[in-house]
Amino acid sequence: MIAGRPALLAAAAWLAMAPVAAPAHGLHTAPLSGGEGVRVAYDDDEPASFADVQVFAPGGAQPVLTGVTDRNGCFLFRPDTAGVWKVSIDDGMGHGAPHFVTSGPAASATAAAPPPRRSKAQGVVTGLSLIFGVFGWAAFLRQRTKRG
Amino acid sequence: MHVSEGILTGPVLAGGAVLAAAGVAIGLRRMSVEATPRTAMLAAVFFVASLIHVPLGPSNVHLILNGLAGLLLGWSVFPALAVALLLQAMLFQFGGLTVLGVNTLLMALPGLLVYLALGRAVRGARTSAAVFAAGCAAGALSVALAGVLLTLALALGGRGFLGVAGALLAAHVPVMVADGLVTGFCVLLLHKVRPSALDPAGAEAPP
Repeated sequence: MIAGRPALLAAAAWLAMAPVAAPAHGLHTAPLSGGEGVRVAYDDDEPASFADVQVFAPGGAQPVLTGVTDRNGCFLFRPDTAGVWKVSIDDGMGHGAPHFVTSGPAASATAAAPPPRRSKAQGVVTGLSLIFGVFGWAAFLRQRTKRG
Repeated sequence: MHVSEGILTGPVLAGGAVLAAAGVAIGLRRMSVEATPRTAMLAAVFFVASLIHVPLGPSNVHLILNGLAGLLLGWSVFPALAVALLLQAMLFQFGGLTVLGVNTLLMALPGLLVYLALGRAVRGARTSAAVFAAGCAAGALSVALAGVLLTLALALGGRGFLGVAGALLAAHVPVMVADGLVTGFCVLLLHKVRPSALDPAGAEAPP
């Protein structure tokens, strides 16, 4: 009886400490919604899967977060300060693009509709016109120089 | 295979711009008035080719055709591709203005090299199969050389050469096949209907 008392006390102490010590070494999860995301894709809309991503806080020169896009070319993060966050994407083969995210109270004030993109057909017609125009002028000027 | 803005270092951008400017100057000097429409046509083909996506097996590739441009233009491939790349950067945001020199060098130099290496073989081939094979080789080789140059440019910026080379090779094998086939068929057609088009040196301006 006397000999068992220290063991009983030790067991009681361990039981008393256990609930305090366990959370310090454990992880727990909770559902979370919101955050900012970016989808990265090539010209033909093929997703830029597993491309390197660096996230820069407002005014920061060093990335505060690095990672990769998922297989669908998506990347999400949660800004913790207000301002313009820069998300830099690099696929490792020479292709890259910056993406800017405005968070905090300024977000709703500065959020604006993206500028309308020129259609591909318009771009092709414009480009071909300029190519033949540029080389046409070059030929004309060279011909005039030759005659002069 | 356009390099985007913000990827390469300043010295690489500057070196690429200087070399590309030298190539454009030589190309303009050698471009005769008679060869100008052909140069414009190939610039237009290159400009549009990267917008055409060709389904090839499980992947979807876009044409480059810098080898075809090189075979038909010689040194004039530099001004042709410089104008096309400038317009692609301005109209479609492919590449960018600061990387225009590097992109011109990446695309035009392989075209010039395959012209110097295989131009004579294409012109001198006696059978259709030989012409087609030489054209295929020129098209595929120019894409491979562009990949090598891109890997070098990225490696000069501090990236691992072998890692980038492996990823680029895997991504561009389908492009090499597509470009090789299209270049082969184009060269074969020109060899039959207008062989003089395969001799850009014959249309160059006298020095």
